[in-house]
Amino acid sequence: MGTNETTGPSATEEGVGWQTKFRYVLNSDFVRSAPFWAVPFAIMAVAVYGGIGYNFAISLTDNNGTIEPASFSNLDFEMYVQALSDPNVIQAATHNLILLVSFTAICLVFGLFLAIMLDRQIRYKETVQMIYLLPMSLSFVVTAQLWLWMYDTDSGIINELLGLLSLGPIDFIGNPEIALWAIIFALIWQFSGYTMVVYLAGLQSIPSSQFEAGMIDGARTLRIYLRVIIPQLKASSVSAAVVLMVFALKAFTFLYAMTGRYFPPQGTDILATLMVREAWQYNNWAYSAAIATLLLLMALGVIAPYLYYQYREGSL
Amino acid sequence: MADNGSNFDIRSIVDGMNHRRLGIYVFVTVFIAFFLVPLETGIMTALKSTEAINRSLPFLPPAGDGFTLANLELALEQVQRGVINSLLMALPATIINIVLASMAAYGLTLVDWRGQIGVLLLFVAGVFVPYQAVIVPLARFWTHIFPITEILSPLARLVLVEPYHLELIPLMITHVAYGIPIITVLFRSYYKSMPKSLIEAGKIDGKSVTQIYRDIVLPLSKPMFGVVFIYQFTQIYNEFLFSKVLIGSASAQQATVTLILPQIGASTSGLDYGLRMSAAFLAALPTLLLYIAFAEQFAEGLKTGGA
Amino acid sequence: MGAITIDSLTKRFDDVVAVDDVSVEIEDGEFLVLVGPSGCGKTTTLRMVAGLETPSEGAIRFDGELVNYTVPQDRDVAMVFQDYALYPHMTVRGNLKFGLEEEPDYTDAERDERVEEVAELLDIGNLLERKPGELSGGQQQRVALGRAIVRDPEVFLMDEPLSNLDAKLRAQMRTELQQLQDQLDVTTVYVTHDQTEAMTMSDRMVVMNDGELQQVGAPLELYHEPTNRFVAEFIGEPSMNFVDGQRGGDGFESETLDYPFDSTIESSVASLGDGDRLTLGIRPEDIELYDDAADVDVSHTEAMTVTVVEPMGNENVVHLTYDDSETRGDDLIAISDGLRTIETGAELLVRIPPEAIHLFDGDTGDALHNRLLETDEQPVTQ
Repeated sequence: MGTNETTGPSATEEGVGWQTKFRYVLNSDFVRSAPFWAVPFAIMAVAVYGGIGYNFAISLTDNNGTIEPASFSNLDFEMYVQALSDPNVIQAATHNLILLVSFTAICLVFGLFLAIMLDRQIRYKETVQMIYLLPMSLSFVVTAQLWLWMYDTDSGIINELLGLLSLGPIDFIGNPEIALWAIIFALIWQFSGYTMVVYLAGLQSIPSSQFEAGMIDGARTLRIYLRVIIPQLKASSVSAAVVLMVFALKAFTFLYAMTGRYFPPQGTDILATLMVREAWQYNNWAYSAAIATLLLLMALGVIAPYLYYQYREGSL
Repeated sequence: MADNGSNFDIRSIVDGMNHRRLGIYVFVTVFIAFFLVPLETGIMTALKSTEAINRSLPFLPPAGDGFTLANLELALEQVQRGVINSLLMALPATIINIVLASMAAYGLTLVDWRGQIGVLLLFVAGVFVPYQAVIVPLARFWTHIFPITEILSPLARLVLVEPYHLELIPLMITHVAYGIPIITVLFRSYYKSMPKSLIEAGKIDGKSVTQIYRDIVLPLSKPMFGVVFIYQFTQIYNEFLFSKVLIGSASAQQATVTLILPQIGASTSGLDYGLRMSAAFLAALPTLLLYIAFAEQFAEGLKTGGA
Repeated sequence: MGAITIDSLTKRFDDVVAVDDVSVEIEDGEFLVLVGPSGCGKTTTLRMVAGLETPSEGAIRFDGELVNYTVPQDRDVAMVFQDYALYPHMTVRGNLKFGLEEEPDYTDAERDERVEEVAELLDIGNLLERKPGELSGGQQQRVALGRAIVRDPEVFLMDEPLSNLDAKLRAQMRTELQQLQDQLDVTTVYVTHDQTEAMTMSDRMVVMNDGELQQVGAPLELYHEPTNRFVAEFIGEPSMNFVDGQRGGDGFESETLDYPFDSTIESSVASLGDGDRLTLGIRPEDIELYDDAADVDVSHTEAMTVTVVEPMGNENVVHLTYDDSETRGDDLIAISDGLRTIETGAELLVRIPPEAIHLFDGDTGDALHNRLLETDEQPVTQ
């Protein structure tokens, strides 16, 4: 909001003592505004970055068993070597990757579709938007219960409907071949309202004159969207994609709440669930800290380009 | 089309438009069903007796003697404590969180200095850090390094505070700390859009940085406070991982509702869906009501902040 | 009380020099206008006086006292912002009173009294309980002025305060502001890009370009005796005509115009040799237009064709071209009496009177010769 700088004028003025300059610096916006951001920043930095550092330190130890303070001698990367050759880790990472790619892609496409559908002047748009976004207001713990019931083999609604078509019943959650896809479907149900809202905001920022210009040029609606409108939604796509991808990496709650145990349904184990299980089920603290660091690195692979993009766009 | 201009042509165009609009409304309705069915099914199931659940289609409302409130009553008994704990924890956590974040955003937007970009980057990156990367140290921090619950235990004698409520404090502070980045980013985007001249007018009017915050910026960010409150309260109330790590057991007195819910209605003979759905509905009720009342604010928070 | 000294003031933003070594003395009670095209550094200068920007070099003194190290809160200045910056959540009364709360010499009752007094002065007494959003642009403008006046500061700083008003209201506010400043007798530094505002309102004006001060002086001084081509072009509407050419023959030579100099003019360009680049300037209203060769002193006269006539009512703006020019634009713009009928395509005899011409160095743009004022019985006013 202001542009006062920390440095005073460099001209040598007569009769200005250091006290005057010191008082000026003390009164400057820079100093006066510092407490406002420094206190929250300190809390946040200790929690987030202190936590990451501490976690990394633990990952270098061999700490397991009780949650007593670890001894920080014999630091090495043994846990990382172990993790990278652990078939469970490899499998979980593969699941992460499947989740990341398919969940993100489908959510974006589906959300965009919903947004375009609602962007056209339809009646009760607000209400419809509210209904589509409703799942996002629910805890994963709750939605996991809802979908558990949806997928239930005996009397879940999906199998009841398949029964009408003389299909099934299919054990969606119990079958490791399809459980991950069933969960991706449920997560898309929960998240596509979010992508829709992001895209709707993007669509609103495009002047309607562009659409009208396209109409006057005689272009068909679909063509206008493909050629004129969608290319301008890049910023919306990027920010939504980052949120979805990071979620796909860290999603834990939904999977945990499916079973209520540290073991998610078979075939759906991801790094996030594996990490928590290693720590709280088996007390392999150092090992789980190492997995957490790997998870963080994967997240950084998504976040870093995004931050750079934001920085270049000047939108920080 | 233009050179023909007969009635027939015009009518076919109008019809075409109607067909297209009709198509859109069909889609809109289908997706309304898609988004509501899991919830609707859950609520219907919550109102049915076990026998009715097995007998009837899940999404149909309970008929005749299939209707029962027994599941809801039983669920309420089990969930009640968790809901109260969650509210007790989420309300102060949200308020402290958004006040701190608003201050941070103000401090960072008021002045522009070299190196500020670094601070901003750390805030924005903090939004996306997976909590898994900090939970192992976090658990140690609250048990060994800073056992705040023990430090505050004399407070337990105060009226209205049950000893186990103090156990919620670490969770509360954790939510405050990890909620700061996202809310700061939200407030910053709001403050950046505020005219610079308002702050400058305040300075010229002789107001200190603190007075400008209190008398100009705070009153003007009331709508944003609404948005972030709805958004962040929902997030904190719905959160599970921190509760799991810091409280652990669903049977603990201070267990939050998200911790309790996955354990309800589970037995060796399978899930009691009637009970589980009742509990899920009751657990979701506070945020559900908040959402229905303030859907617009929630969406506003989501689209600038992210999930 | 309220004299301002700006001494070698420089402001750099990273590599960009926004204000470059500007020095101005502003007297107590003076109405000084900073004028120039956008990006010329006038607003940055004003903001440094306000304390909203820190100078990179140089000093700002209020009554001889250095204020470089004084935060805006302690400078006892009031500022009117281009967008008014009214606090939208406060009533007009709240807006006026807000700054007054920091003035220690008032009791609360006195503050209220002062607010009402200023509101009456500005004729916004009936708006006191409204919020800024409920006011028209002109009313908001008055509230912004009121907020500045109410604190009775040493200095008023105004950053294009009239630029958001429509033309009619702007003209009205111009007069009103001027009267107000006269009445309050408070030093005022006023920034605008509009030279009409600068000319009509200021005691003295400062013309800036590219961060550099071009000229300081009374409006008519700048109008008649510009120190360089930039000032000559910037001040006056329509702008001064310029003909680029060179020193040669017995005066000025260009593709289209040969203009012999008399001895007075000759002496001011004595330093130039034949072939040195020279620019001749003439104000539109100084050009004389004749229909008939009989009326005219043939020296300094050319035959030209009218390309466009813009009737303004009180005057006509006449665009002229030489007969032989084909695709080039207008060569000169002249102003004739509004009652005189001039047809497009008409051929006129155009006289450029020697006493009214300006000469500028063709390379540096510096003025070498300005018009002779003593021959001008009535200085032209706008």
